[in-house]
Amino acid sequence: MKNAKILNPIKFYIKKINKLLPYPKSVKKSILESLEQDIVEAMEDTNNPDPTEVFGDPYTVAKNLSHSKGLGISPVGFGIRTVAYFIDFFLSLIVCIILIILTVFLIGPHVVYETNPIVFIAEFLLLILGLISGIFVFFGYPILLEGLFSTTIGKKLFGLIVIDVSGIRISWKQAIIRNLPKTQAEFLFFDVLIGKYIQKTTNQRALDQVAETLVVRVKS
Amino acid sequence: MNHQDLLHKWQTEFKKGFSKPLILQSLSEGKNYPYPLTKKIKELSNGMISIAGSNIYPMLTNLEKEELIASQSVEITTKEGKTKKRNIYEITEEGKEFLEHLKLSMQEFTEVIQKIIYP
Repeated sequence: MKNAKILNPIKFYIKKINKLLPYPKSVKKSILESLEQDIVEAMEDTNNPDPTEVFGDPYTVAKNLSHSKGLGISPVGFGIRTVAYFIDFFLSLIVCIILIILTVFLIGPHVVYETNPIVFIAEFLLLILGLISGIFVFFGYPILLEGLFSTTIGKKLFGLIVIDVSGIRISWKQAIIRNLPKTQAEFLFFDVLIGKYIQKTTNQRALDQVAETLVVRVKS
Repeated sequence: MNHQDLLHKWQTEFKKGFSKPLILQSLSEGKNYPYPLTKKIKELSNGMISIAGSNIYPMLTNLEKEELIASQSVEITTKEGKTKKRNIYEITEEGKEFLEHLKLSMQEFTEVIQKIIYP
């Protein structure tokens, strides 16, 4: 009974830490198992049912684990990231074009020949919505995927992920900041140049430095 | 800042310097897992030095990088009968030699400091 009481908050706590570490399960499994044993012992010793009070907040623990296990220490160069960027660019462009074409061809003719003003407005709004969602896919794709999975399809193909400089998962705010220059290829070019000029060793774009993010290759 | 707070701040600063030597000393007495190691250090220092939560992991990694300790992943059986992996740490031969040098150096250092503070 005592064990059951202690184990549930631990599972919850470990789950939080697990979520903060955007690395493959194969890499994290043994690290988290080892951590769990330490937490169980610490909680039994102190007779405290709150793992955060006994072991510290999940953010600090995740940072310490990432740092000590060297999970995300080697930032990758711009060469491989450029290839990943173009894969993502074409993927999102294809989806964007499909969405726009579908919207225009399916809704467009109805709008043109519609005589009822209410239906016309509804179809016109739908057309605009379709076009906006197409554009959103194009610009929002890296933000959405990096915010949710810390990677994009292009990056995933090369085993790359985006992490916070402390080694943990990036936040939505960081995903938005670091992807702002991707709306214009020229911005991205200068972003890389300025980033390289300011910080030569970490392969961070200027906005990677502002967002405090790194692109690293995950251990397999 | 009152003296009590200031004293606490200064103590925290100089205690940090003793954590790694104490980890080495504890491991020289036998292999151990991270949490039991922090517990042992706390006991040895009468609660004066306590390494909070996960802060021991980066220290162990640093010592491992310096080849003073080594880790091994071992399979253990939990109270629920599940098999899980856990890292156990032990001092290396180089670590033992270094610890002897470190002890002498620390002794010399504390003697000098004591002579200055309590002439």
